[in-house]
Amino acid sequence: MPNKSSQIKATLDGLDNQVVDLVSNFVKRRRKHYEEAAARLHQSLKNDAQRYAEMLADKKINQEDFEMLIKGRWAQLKIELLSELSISKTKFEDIAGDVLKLTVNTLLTVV
Amino acid sequence: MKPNAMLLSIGLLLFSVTTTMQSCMAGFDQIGLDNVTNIGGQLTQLMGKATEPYGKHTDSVNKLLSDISAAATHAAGQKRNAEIGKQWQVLSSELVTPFFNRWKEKGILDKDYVKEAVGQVGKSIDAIKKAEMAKKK
Repeated sequence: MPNKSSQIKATLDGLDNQVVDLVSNFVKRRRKHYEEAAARLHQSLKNDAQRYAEMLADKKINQEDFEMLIKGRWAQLKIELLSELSISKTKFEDIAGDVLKLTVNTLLTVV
Repeated sequence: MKPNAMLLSIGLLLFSVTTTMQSCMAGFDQIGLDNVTNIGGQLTQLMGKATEPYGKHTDSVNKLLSDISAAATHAAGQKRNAEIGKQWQVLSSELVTPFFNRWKEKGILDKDYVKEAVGQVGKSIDAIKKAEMAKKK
C-alpha cells in the first residue's frame, strides 16, 4: 500500500504545473477581456456625455434634463460593471470546475 | 490504510469538494430571468409614454414600481447573487424612481430627454439579462 500511496501522491504532485497553467491562461484571457470591456464602456460613456452636451447646447434639452441624463448614465455604467463582475465569477467557477475535473480524472487513473 | 478504505476516503473527499463547489455557485434562476425580461419590456414601453400626461398612467407606474421592488427583493434573496441584487437596486433607485418622480412632478416630459432616458434603462436591463443568462443551468 505504501507504493500505492506514494504513486497517488506523485500523481497529484505532477498536476501542480498543469493547474498553474490552467489558472494562468484563464487569468490572461480574462485580463484581455476586461481591458477591452473597460475601453468599450468608457468610449460609450464619452459618446453619450458628448451627445447630451450637444443636445444642451442646441437647446433640445434643458439644464435639468442634462443633469438627470448624466446621473442616469452614471447609474447605467454601474449596472454594466456589476454585470461584468457577476459574469467573471461564473467564469471563475468554470476554471475551478476544470481544476477539479483534472484532479478527479487523474486520480481515477491511479486508483 | 487498506485499498478499499483509501478508495472510500478519496470518494468521500471528492464528493464533499464537489458538493461544496456546487453550493458556492450561483445557480440558474428562471424567475430572475423572467423578471428582467417581463419588467424590461413593460418598463421601457411605459417610460416612452412620458410625453403624455402622468395622470393617464399613474396605475401602471405604481404597478411597475411594485414589480421592480419584488424583483429586487427576489434577486437579493438568492445565494451568491449580490451583483444582480445590486443591479436591481441601482436600476430602481437611480434610474427608474427619479424618472417617474420627475414625470409626476412635471406632468409631461420632453421627447428628446425621454428617448435618452429610455435608452439608458434599456441598456441597463440588457446588462442585468446578460448577467442572469451567464449563470449555469
